[in-house]
Amino acid sequence: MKADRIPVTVLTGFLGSGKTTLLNRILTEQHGQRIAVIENEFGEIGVDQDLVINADEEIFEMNNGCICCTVRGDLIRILGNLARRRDRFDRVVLETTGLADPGPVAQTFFVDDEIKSRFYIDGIITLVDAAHVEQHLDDSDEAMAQIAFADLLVLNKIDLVRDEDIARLSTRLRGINSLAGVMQARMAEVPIGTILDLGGFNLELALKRNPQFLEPEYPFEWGGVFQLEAGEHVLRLEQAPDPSLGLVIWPVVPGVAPGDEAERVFRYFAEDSVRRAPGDVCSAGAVHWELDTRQTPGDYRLRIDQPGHYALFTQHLPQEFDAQLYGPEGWAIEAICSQDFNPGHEHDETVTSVSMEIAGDLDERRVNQFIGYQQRTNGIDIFRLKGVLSFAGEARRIVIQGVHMLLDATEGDAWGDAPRRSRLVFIGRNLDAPALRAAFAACAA
Amino acid sequence: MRLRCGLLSQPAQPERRTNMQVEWSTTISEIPVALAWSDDGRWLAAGGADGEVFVVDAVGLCEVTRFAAHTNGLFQLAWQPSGNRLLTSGQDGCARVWDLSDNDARPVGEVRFAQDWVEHCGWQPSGKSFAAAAGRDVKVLDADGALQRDYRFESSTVAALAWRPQGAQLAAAGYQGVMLFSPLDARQPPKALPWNGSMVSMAWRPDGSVIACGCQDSSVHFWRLREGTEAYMSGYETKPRHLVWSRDGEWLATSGGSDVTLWRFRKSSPEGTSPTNLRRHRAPLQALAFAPRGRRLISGCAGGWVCLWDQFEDFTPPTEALQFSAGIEALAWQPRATGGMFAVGDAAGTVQLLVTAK
Repeated sequence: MKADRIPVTVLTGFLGSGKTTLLNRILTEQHGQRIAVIENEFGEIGVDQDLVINADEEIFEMNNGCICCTVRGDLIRILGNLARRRDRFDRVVLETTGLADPGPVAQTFFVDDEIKSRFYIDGIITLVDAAHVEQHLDDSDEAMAQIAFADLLVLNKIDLVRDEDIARLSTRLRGINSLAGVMQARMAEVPIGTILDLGGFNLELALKRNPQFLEPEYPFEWGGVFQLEAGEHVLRLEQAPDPSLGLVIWPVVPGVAPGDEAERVFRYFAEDSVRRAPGDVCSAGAVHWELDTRQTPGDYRLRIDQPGHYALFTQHLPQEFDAQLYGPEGWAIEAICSQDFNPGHEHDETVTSVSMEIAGDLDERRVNQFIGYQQRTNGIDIFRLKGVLSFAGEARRIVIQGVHMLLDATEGDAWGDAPRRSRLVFIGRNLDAPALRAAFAACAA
Repeated sequence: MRLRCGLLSQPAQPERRTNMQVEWSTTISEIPVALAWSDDGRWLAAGGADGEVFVVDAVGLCEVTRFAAHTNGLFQLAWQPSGNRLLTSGQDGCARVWDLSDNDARPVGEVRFAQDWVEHCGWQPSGKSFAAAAGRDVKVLDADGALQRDYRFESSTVAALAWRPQGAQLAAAGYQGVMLFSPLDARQPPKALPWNGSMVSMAWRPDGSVIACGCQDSSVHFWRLREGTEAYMSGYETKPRHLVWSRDGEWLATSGGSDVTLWRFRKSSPEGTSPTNLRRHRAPLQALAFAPRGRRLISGCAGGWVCLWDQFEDFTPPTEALQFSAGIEALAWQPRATGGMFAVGDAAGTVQLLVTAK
């Protein structure tokens, strides 16, 4: 049944953001596919297609008044009818109105059995008008919701704004929705092949396409493991793009990779920092050092009492500071292994993403309690929830997808020899990131 | 008044071998989405999802005519009561009236809507006028397609349309309940039967006393029009898309899962009672039809099975069961028949006439 379900691509975005232009591009470039178009937006630009169904958005609330039961009546009706054809469509594209709330659209595919058995949402693509989105974001809940719900954000009309505006906008969009890719475009010119089959609601597919997907945002950008002798080492910073550099160093067992330690570093970086000026001494341990880099070049002393392996994590990339570690004899020391981490973004939005990761297994019952509690109490504010989890005693990955108060869990690929880890991302309004992190951490088996 | 019912689920006993015989069969290019018999039981009209309609002579067992009624697709068709006209509605923004007196379809009337999908149409029981609905618009027209009344269902697209049996009242169902229109009396304002839910199907009891609707939240809601009372039955697996009444009005058969759920209507029931569940299908029900006389019911499911039921008791197997090559999309019992003929349309595009020995 699942295999022959028909993908539905949802196009959202404010009036003038380029939805119809993108829709027409999809239709002209996908010659081989039979596409049925459902249009809620009756725009000035016509849609060149045999099967265009114009329909008003009809939001149906069920009699219990629960937000998760709010569905789109027009979709149920139209998709239900399209399913009753032998001459099937390969794909459905839905163009919503500018002010549409993607919530009920997504919920329809969770709640209605008939629709669920024959269709799936391939992805929610939100078009963003680079010239006007900031204004919309500041005074419209709908714009925020559309961005928060997206699996892909198309930052359109970039030819109408300056480069620095594009960079700032991209950062802001990622801050709101860290899961969605951001694609820049003029006149909605995006490679069509990459925006179809997004697998937005199929995490396994999404993960295969982009292994970095769902990766948490770290308060650090780089981590390396060093083999150090006892004695005083020197960390030299030749230049400093920032006034300070956060740093943590502590002993680890040999063979550990930086990624294995990332969870611990989260905690260290969450501690209050201890400031160190050039010439001051830092030691190995659970301390969040903050190197004062206003005067560079500068040498910071690093005291190592026991020879062995040490993990060193820095807030920014070492190359930005032209950083080098020297041993007690003055030789330069390189890391045995190192890794870059996905940097976090400065958040000043009410809608944000919280990405979390835990190495090892989780306790299924605790996870259910944690997510159930979040959805019951904050469901209205949770737009999307995605995760790939490792449950103790479970050979397969557990893949979860949530929209507001609804949750869908499926079994994914077997873990096999892959290191077990769980990733979970919330996108929502007024999320309490430290509380979510703590609660998620408490789910460890 | 509210009642809940628990749907029973017990394994069924094996049924007897089938006595259902295929009398005639044809295949069309699309799924037969609608089947309609002429009042006298002589003609069967079948409409495909692509908009093609064909008419079969059930006595001579031959195809009479085949014509393209609508571009893009067809939704419904209905034979004029005691007449020779066929009403069709489709995805080209139109409902059309066809005259079939000369064994050939001649268009005699057409009504155009602002919306493309004219999902519902049906004749008034007198056959003098008909109604059609597209989006929120409901129109009542005479048999030649001249507009008589223009109504609007304010809260949503119309999800179901039904004329009062032997009457002139028209019911439209959708989000937030049912509206009753009185096309013959312009001074009569529409009457609302409100319910905070989304109706997906509707059936008017043959004596006109009850309107029952299947709801999106997997329940059935009904109104007793004389008493002004209402009740609902919940506990279905899925939304009950198919509701049919027995001719005597005692039984309401509903889909909403793989069981046929039967509610017995008397003076003060089914309020407070449990339904009878006919269990044999393993896949969701997609069609139900009561025989024109007696207490016989046929049911068809997505798994391709058609079952004939004569006993309405829990755990009683069907009298007969037959499997088709594809999911059952439509069932229609021949009116006024003594031989027990019915039409079956399946997802492979096959339309068959079956007879069953009583």
